[in-house]
Amino acid sequence: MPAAIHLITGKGGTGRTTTAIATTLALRDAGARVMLLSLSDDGGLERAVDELEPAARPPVIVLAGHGALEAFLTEHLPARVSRRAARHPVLATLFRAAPGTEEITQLDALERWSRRTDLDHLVIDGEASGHTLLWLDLPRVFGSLRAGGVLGPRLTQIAAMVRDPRRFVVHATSSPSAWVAAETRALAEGLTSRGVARGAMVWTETTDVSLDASAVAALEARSQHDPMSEDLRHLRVAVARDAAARQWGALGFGHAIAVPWIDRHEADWGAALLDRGRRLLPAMAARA
Amino acid sequence: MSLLDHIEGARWIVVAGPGGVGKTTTAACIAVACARAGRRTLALTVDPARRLADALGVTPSTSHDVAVEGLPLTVAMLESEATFRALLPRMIESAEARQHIEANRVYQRFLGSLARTHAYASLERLHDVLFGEGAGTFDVVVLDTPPMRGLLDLFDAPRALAALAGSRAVDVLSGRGGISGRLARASLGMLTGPELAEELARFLDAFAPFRAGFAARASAVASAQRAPDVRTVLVTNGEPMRIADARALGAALEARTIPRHLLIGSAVIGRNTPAWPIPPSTDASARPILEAAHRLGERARMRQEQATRALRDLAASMELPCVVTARSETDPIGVAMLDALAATARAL
Repeated sequence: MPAAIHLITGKGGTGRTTTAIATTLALRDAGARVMLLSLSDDGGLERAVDELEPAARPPVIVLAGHGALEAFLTEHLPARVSRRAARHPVLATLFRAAPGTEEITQLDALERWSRRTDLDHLVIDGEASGHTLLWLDLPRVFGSLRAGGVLGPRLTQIAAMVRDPRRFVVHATSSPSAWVAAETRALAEGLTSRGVARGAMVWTETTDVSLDASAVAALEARSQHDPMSEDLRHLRVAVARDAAARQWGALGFGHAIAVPWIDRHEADWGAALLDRGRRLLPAMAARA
Repeated sequence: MSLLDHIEGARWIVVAGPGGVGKTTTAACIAVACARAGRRTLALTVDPARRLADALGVTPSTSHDVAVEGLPLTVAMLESEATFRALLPRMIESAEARQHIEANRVYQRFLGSLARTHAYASLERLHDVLFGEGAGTFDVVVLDTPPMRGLLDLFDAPRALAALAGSRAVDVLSGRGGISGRLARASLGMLTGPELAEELARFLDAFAPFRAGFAARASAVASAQRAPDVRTVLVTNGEPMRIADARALGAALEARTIPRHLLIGSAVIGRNTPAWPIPPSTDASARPILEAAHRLGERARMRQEQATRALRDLAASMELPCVVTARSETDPIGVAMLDALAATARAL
């Protein structure tokens, strides 16, 4: 069985990194062999993982920058050639200056690692939605340039991987506000048109307040007539956001799940994340 | 000090920060504040969701600048493909050379993609406004940037371009140079196949006469980035991960000797309506509602306090003045935020 790649994406600030860590902790807790990756070298995932207790920290692989190029060259060129090529200023300069090159080396590494037999899952703390869609386009873009050599067949294999729901699935985080949901909808459409499997739609920033239907009705009725205190205002907004998440549902993803904010200042953030991950896993198993 | 006091005398304001913190909105507010103060303002926005343009009441266009009614404010979308197409005639005068480039498939495929082309588009536009044909049209330029790495790409791009322009090895790759670099050509051919290597070489060759110009313009902008009339404003909210991101970004800018001038932080006070002062009813049937409301309210107040404290601590540790502001989801760019920016500015 190939390892499954879970790419977590979504609008900036909606909880991608938190969701990626939570998923990794839960999978490991369930006994799976998991790799946690970042596609960016800005350090965000590592900083977040460092907030966990040392014993709980999963190792983080940063698949970005010149390291990604070196891994690509080492893999695909004879040893003597790759060593010199990696140091050659032309390739280094082109890699830094040209768009798409870093991203292709990332996709190449992911395709190879997903065929490892000592791994069950790769969880990726991905970039924001727009960047993810462009990233997923790259095999087609490079392919249209009639790439041959080493790259040609690799592009075919990468394209096959991202369209195989057993090997590659995208989960999205979103917030139940109208303009964030609109961008998430565009993401779902973009993934559908690219033939990429969608997993969980995670609505973050909902609440764990439960009011029964009559209480909600009473709250609405009150707000029609009375001016509201700040507390009631917060509640009304929270209830509205919960309702919006229910209404928008999966938005083209396999399964929707609404989760409340995890307060970073909570006494045991690691335990809260593990619990969050356990709740997410069943939702992530659904496919669209 | 008010916001405008902090950016007084600025010719160019760069707005940077992590994603999802309201950077684009803040950039828009800064632009509006400058325009209201009577300065002819150009807002360069990266907003992919067109939200900013919608909020300013303009129909977004990637091919030309759009003027905002009633204010000396112009909005330009920095979408690399269209920006390049529009700028190409100014960068390369010969129509024949331009056609040659536009026909190149490498150029066509990669024009719109990903962060680095975006940085190049920004640099070309900035150069045009600061030094080129657009100079003198605007008193201040407000530049919105893609989150985190986007800003660093912008600062690094001039060096990368200069390396590309100055590199003999690139000459070799494009077939113009001498004997050395055979390894590079061989490796590249092995990696990409002969057709793509050839297309790439043609692309580099087509641009070769203009590389020096690109590099010179990029260097001019790079030097301008450190001039005293540039202000770099960091934007973040008070959430721990975003605070850590902003701190790391500040350190990365410092490592590049780019000065930072101001931190604007949004401590989320409430999401939605303005505060109403009437106390809640004591009707018994309202108890579950009031209890739930109280709990949520307490949590929101605690988050706000923590956020405000974290923002002030961050500003102190970076030795930056700090403006703390409220955000509202239903009024993303409007009177509320502008007034908040203007009225709640606090210097450390």
